[in-house]
Amino acid sequence: MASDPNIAIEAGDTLDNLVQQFSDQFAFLRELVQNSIDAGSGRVDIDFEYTPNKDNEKGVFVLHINDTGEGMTREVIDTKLTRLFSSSKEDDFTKIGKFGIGFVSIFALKPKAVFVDTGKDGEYWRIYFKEDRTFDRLVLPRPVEGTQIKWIKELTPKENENYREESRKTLKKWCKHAEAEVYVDGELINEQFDLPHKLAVNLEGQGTYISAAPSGSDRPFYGFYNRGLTLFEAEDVIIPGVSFKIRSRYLEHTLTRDNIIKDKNYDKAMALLKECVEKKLRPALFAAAQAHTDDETMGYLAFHVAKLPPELENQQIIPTLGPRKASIRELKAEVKRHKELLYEENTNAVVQRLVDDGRLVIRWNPEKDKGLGTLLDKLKGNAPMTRANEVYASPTLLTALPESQEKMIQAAMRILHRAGSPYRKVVAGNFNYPNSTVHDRLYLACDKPDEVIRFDKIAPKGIFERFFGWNKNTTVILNVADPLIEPHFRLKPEFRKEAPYLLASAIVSDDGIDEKTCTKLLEAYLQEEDEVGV
Amino acid sequence: MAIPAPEYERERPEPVLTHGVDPTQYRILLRDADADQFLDFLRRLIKGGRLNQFYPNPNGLDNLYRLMSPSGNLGIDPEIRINPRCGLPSEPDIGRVLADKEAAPRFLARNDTAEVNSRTDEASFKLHRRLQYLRDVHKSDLPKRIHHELKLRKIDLVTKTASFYSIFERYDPGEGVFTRYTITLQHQDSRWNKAQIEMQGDDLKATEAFRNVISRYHSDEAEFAFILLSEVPGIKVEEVVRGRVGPLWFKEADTMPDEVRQLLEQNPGNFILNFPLERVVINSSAKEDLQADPFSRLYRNTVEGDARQFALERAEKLGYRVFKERKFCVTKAIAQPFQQLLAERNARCIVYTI
Repeated sequence: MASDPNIAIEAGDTLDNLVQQFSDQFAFLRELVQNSIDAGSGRVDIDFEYTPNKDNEKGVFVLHINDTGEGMTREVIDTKLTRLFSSSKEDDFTKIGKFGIGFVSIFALKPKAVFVDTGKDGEYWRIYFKEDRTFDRLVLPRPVEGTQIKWIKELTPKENENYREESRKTLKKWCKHAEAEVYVDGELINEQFDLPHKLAVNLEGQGTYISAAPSGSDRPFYGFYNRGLTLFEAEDVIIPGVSFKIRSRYLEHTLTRDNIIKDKNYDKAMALLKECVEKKLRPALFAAAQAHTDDETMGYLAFHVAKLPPELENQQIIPTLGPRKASIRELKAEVKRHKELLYEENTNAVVQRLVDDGRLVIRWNPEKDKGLGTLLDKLKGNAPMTRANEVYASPTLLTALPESQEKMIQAAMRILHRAGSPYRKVVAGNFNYPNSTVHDRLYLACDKPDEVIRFDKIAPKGIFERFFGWNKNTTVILNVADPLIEPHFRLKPEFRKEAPYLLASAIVSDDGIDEKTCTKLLEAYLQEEDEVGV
Repeated sequence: MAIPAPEYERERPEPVLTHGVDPTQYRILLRDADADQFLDFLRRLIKGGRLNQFYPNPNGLDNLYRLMSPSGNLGIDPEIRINPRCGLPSEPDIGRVLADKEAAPRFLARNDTAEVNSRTDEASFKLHRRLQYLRDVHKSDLPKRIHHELKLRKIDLVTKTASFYSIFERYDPGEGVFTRYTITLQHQDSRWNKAQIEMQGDDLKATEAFRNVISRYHSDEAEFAFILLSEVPGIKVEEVVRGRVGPLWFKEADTMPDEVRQLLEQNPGNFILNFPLERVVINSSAKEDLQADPFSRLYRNTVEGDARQFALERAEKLGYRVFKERKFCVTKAIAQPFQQLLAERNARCIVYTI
């Protein structure tokens, strides 16, 4: 080998600082892989070799880093590789390296020697870097493809293990998505770039590839990469409810490699990310929600309902107990009109009649469907969520009662009338329909007994006022199967005379009997007895 | 004056029959396990060649040959025909997989349904196999017959100059090999020059005229393409690199140098896969051209008379240097004698073995 010795690496006082430029001393491996990728290598092999020394505690550790990139000519070696801040890659969108200082980090761990074999255009070179960082450039008699580096240091067996472990960890951290295949001791360390999520989407263009997926975490994962090399990974809110990986020619490391440069190119990358979320992830979430009712998806959607375009606002995604899902626009209209949002887990007579009347009843189980709960919270504003069966009832009207029962009820009603009740009519009803929440009520007052009844809005609060005070409702539906009412129909003949009075008292007792009510009822009964002869 | 295309000497030895006779030009017909074995060797040779970005994408080729193999296509097509001139799978077999790639989305959308997959009759099993194969084809990266891509490197707003790479990959049916051209260009926008490329954001889009130029000129040697592209107004060519995968030499193939044929006849069952690379570049520090490819000649030396004179003048005027190299991946048993053969030719080539 011809030799051209004793050339010192041209660096001045800055070299020491630059050698230790990274907090992780093994980060030089990343710089070398980066150089290999920039050189167009499709594969980088990193191998470890250790030869123990019988006579010495320390053996020889050799780290091999081989690529098949375009290699270097003497000119490149002299003007770029061994010169700081003389990168030819500056402002080149197709290269990751920019500053021309990465290579010197190979000295951070104080190697005994570093051999760089390389060649291009028929010239093949060995650069031998010594411990003091001076180097010789030697002519190689054999061809070399790409660049082959041997990094040599004396280590104890234990240090050898540690170096292998740290090297592997460092390479995995920075190079797991590298464009080139990276083999460490023959094992491929590359991992799939796309986020492993069933709803992950991707966007490609302008030298940028984005994988974005919904996330329910309050600190979603994100990562920035250039040609697959990791620039920065963390967990935090960049876009709420979105985890992402973005590989872009626009992204660059800071000089210290501990973050990325946030300049106008970074803004371009982020604009693409925003486009990916708005044009791909959000529609994908809506499409998934439309196709399947999956609570996780509903939870994800909660992050994506602001400023919706009409086509998404009209997409039917909210599960209802009606014939189809509802759109966000329909849900908002319901809230605006009724100042509340009704929900139920399952359908029943009440829900069916509400749906028939054009109401929106969301299919929701607050205990189980937390995701949907979060979404509804976002959509309904301050309006309350109301369980339909807790405020609406739909008793079945009984029109074919035995004559004696019918008579008894009408007599009781007359007594109530005489006592001052505003109700004009009493009808019998069955309150025991599936999922009924009114089965233990004695009666329900309403204006239109054949419609679904809202029963949580009885205005008067006092006992007397409830039944005898002002009330816009005109009809009472009596729960004839209630244990307080039903026995009246089975009274022995000797007690039947008093039965209407007792029935009237029982009806009123639902609201609590006080002295005034008792007196009024008794007076009414006696009056009825005198006039009609009950 | 028209620039002549280079001429090649074509050897036409007597056909050698192996496993079957194909009435077409593709005499070598391999079936089932033989086809699998051949393609497995080919894939290992490509992987073993450690290709960089100047060659056609090795992963795409690996997928292509995997899906072409009877085991890869689940026996749907149990045969492959070998192009005896390049020793590689024939154009119709390549075309079959590439056509399946195009047809797969439509076919899968129509047939990959729960109903079809739940069928249990004999005829449907065949369909299930086809679906499984097409799913694999659909998700696999494959090379394209022709693919052109522009990669922006730098923009100089002051001089209105864009530096970029034009990457053109094609299947060359003439030679039967996949080829990639990587051209480093500068394009200057001026009132005198018709724009060859358009900026779209920070992306480049080739005009139709430029695409035509690229596909017309990327049909032969890098030097030939370099000269022709240098004639395009507004374009400054800095470098043209052509990388190829092939030919594959083995005993039964037709076209190869005599001494290689001799070697393979003495070592049947062995393979030599060629990876030629040509680089034509301006501003090189090299004082002369490099001809380190033992099995090819410089373009200028393939033409004669006025044409040669013209080519020499262009080389002088454009000031480029040509570097021709070739690496190989060979089966282990033939590595040593092949290295020796190269040494006898004074060729310093990289030879990988599998």
